[in-house]
Amino acid sequence: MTAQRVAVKLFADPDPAVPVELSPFIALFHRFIQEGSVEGLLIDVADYAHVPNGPGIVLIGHDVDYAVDSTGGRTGLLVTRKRYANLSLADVVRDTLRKAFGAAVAIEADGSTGLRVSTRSLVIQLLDRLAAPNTDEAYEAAVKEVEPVLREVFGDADLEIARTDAGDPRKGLAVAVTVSAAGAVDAVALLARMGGAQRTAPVAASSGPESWEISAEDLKKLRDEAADFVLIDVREQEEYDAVNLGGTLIPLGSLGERMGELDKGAHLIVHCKVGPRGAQAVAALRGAGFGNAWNLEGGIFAWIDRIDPTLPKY
Amino acid sequence: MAPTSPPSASSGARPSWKGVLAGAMDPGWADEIDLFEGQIELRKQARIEEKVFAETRLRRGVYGQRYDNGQRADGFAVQRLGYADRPTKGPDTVWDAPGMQRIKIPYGGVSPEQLEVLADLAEEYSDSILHITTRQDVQLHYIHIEDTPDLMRRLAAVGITTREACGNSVRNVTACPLAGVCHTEAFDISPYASALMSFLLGHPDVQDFGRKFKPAFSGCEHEACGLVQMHDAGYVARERDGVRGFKVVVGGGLGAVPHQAKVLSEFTPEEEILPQIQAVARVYARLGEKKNRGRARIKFLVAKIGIDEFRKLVEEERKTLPHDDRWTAFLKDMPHTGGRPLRDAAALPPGERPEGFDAWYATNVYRQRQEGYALVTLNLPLGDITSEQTRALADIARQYAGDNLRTTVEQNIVLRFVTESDLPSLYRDLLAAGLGAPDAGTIVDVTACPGTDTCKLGIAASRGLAGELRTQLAVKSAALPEAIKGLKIKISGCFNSCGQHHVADIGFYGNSRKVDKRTVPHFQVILGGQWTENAASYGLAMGSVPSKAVPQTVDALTDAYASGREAGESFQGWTKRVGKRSVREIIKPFMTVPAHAEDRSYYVDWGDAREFTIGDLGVGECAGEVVSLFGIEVVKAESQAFDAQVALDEGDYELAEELAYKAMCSAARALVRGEYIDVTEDPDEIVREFKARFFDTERFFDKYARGKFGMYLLRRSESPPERLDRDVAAERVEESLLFIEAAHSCEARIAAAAPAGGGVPLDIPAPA
Ligand code: HEM
Ligand code: SF4
Repeated sequence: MTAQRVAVKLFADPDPAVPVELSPFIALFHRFIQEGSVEGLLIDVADYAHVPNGPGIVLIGHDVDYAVDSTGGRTGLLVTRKRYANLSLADVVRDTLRKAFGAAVAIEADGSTGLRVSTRSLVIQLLDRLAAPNTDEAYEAAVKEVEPVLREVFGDADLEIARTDAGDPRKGLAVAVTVSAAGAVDAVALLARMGGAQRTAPVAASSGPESWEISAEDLKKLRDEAADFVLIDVREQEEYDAVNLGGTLIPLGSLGERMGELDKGAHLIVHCKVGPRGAQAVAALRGAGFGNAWNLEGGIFAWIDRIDPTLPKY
Repeated sequence: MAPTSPPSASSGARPSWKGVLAGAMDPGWADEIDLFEGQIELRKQARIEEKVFAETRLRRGVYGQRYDNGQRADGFAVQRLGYADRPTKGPDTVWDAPGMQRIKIPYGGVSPEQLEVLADLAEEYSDSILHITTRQDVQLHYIHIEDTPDLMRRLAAVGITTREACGNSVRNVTACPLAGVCHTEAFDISPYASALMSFLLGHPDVQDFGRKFKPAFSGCEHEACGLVQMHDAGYVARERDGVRGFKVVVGGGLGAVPHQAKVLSEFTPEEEILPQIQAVARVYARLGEKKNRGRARIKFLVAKIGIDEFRKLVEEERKTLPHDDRWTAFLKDMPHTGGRPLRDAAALPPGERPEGFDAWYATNVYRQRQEGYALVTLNLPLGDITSEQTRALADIARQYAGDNLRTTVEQNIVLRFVTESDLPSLYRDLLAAGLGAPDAGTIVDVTACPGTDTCKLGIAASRGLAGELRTQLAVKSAALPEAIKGLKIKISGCFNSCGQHHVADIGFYGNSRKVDKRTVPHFQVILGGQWTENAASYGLAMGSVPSKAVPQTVDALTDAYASGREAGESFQGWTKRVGKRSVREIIKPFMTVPAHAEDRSYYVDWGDAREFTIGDLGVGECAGEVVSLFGIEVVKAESQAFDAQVALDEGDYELAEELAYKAMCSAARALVRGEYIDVTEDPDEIVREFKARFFDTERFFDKYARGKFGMYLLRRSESPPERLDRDVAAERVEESLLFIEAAHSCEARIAAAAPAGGGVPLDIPAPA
């Protein structure tokens, strides 16, 4: 079995038949993109709140999507792994489950949406009608590969594994899993068991420090647009005297004590000479709750090279 | 022989769609798809240039898409994507990142089998949503380009091609969804639409266009359905002495500068329509503009040489065409009704009705010409339907209607030849599938283009706004007076008018304004467009209101209309009678944007959570209200443009044209004064200064339109019109509105010369 597009749906708890309010997910998913709170290369948020029993709000990634889905009238977190890789079905399912538990943990930790999911009731969908048609043989082949993964993930708990949608050959092949109460654990524990860790902003590898960089061209554009931001120069006084962009001088060494002067809601663009001090400053600022701190990539030298060569270098 | 199998097939163990479907596809289509797959592979190896590849993929309906509403990635700066070359989100997304696939549905005709395949594709390659477009196509979003060849093969196996769905080609042929069942049609145009479509698909004479070419068919002159007046080529069915034929019009179009089509021939007999369009194609390919995309649609050619000259050229060209059997082959086994009913006709018997049936029946059911049969409209929210619902719909169609489904330009789907006595049980089944919404074709059934959600050119969130209006209006729907309920709202995310806002009673297109140092999403209000008579006249711009004030604006307008209308008066008639000035007074109170500190919600678009500035803003946040010189000056341009519209409306074309030119001059002057305060009011001097400072330096250019809007002013200044009629005046008025728009964006880009700190002074002492 080589089906590679696989989705896992974790149903809402307590009652998947009760629809959740969707609008808070727009804000949450945008935050997930900014902070890299779930796995994958995240690129957009699609709003289908107007479609009854539809995919709801979808956090779109290049390789994986996360949706608050109400297909079939049952609300849940639907996590779809989209790209092919030459992996076994077992590996693909393991990977998708880990992503799903990770997202469940992130959504519940945030708390703003009120969504909680059950780890005792889930469906694994094989969305590949070529490799995994909705037939008896394909189902058996799939279960053979998936069951060991489920055993490994759910440990000692009793599992009930069943085929859904067997009556409609047009639908994708789907495996429903029910986990007995005894031995069931929450998503945090499952995630840990699978070697995943809860992501706390803003540490995600895919959005490491370099993600908070802004180019000299972008800075120029923001200036031209008279956008509302504060430019902070974290170099030393002598450097500032040699050449500056008119920013507020807060040498890196004194940033800690002077943070109180800055506004957490404001957009901050930090620069140094060529980049690294600025990156440190941004990491410190973001760590302290300045959610809109950015570092000028390549520092003032990049600005001089690419935007204003009339300024002196030192 | 599979030189370029997709990565997914390379393991050998995986079966491939190419193999499985080999016998099921038209061999020509199959080769095309293989070729495309090869080109994707070459592009991956960087052996084809991006430009060449882009045209290749667009021709197959594979569009780039925007993510995360572009610039507003985090409400401020642009976050990099994790792709290798670290592109930013927004307009610059890369070719191999997920994009949109447009699927051509000729005249909207789909079968249950095709629907099922579309449902599978949406589920396996997209996000389980099929989107119906304003040209009866289906779009899937977030598609990976590696998946497109298989996607196309699976479509080809059920007779659907994506070929020439985008790019400079003959786009989908649209037609009224009522064709074949309508009371007023001369005859069923579907087979003709189908014949024209297959004749032109891949035809050598249509490969060398400077721009896209959109044909449409209508069964009659007076209803709205075909919208032929706004198409590059439009066909209206007519019968003369028992002979079938068409009135043929050319050169219509919406877009930035809308044009009404001109009559090419009052009657073209059926056997002549294919050779005639071939002749049109040759003339257009030969004489149409190629370099300047902004003037390349056939409407510009027709306007330039005049319809009489154009007709002469087409007639001459026709005589030189070598005979082609296909011109008439399709006439041989022509079906004479629009599809075969599945079940016997039967009237709707009296008796128990399901709850909600009557309201649904009133708006969603059309009684066909064929007694005992009805056409049923599914009111799809913003044109969206899920894969699950699509499969349910296929089942419902098989049970009640057979093959007779059509998509519509109002982003809905219709079932045809439903036996009337089946309606109550059909309604129950539709409800169960989530497809039983009433209010089809009413003010609730808002049409919207993709806008900032997925379109790279979008400025404001047309879909977000449409969703909001739909929600608000649906709640009130039952209580709305009939006159209001019958109105149409159409929304485009920018002036390109994919949402067809020009032909709605109340239309909107997205733009933006700089307020309080921030960009605020706005919509231009377009009122009084005409939907009937095949979209025979376009609405006029009334001014821009902030996005968030649009629902109140709609309420105010509809209330004023409902209370002020004379018996039987249309919305268009009402706007005409009370006059543009008084209508503008109604929307004026909604045009202002509260300061950011007062109401931040205005600074966030619909369906978004992000503000331009997030979090609590403390002291020193705003350096005080500064109204720029430009802001003061441009008001003059806007009022001249408005007066120009009034003059146009009153039939004073000379005045309208003159005022529109003046408006452009004033807007240009507003820009120039920012740098050269003493510029006089002499148009020649203004144009000279504008050209030197803003046009030649390309500072006026935007990324997509480049110099297009600036050229409007320069061209008018160089060559004032020789003849003045309504078309010339109307074009100038449209141009002036776009020029003013461009001046606003230009100002936002370049002006306000950032203070030295690049931002706002903080409350901490800045070193000297
Ligand atoms: C990537 C997204 C898109 C881009 C870049 C785009 C571009 C444009 C442009 C530049 C025009 C103006 C053409 C002219 O008349 O000069 C236009 C018009 C139009 N487009 Fe799009 N478009 C996009 C998506 C769509 C979609 C999704 C639809 C259908 C829902 C659509 C349907 C139309 C229609 C109906 C018009 C009106 C023009 C006419 O028929 O004459 N477009 N588009
Ligand atoms: S009107 Fe503008 S925003 Fe809407 S789809 Fe067309 S180009 Fe995009």
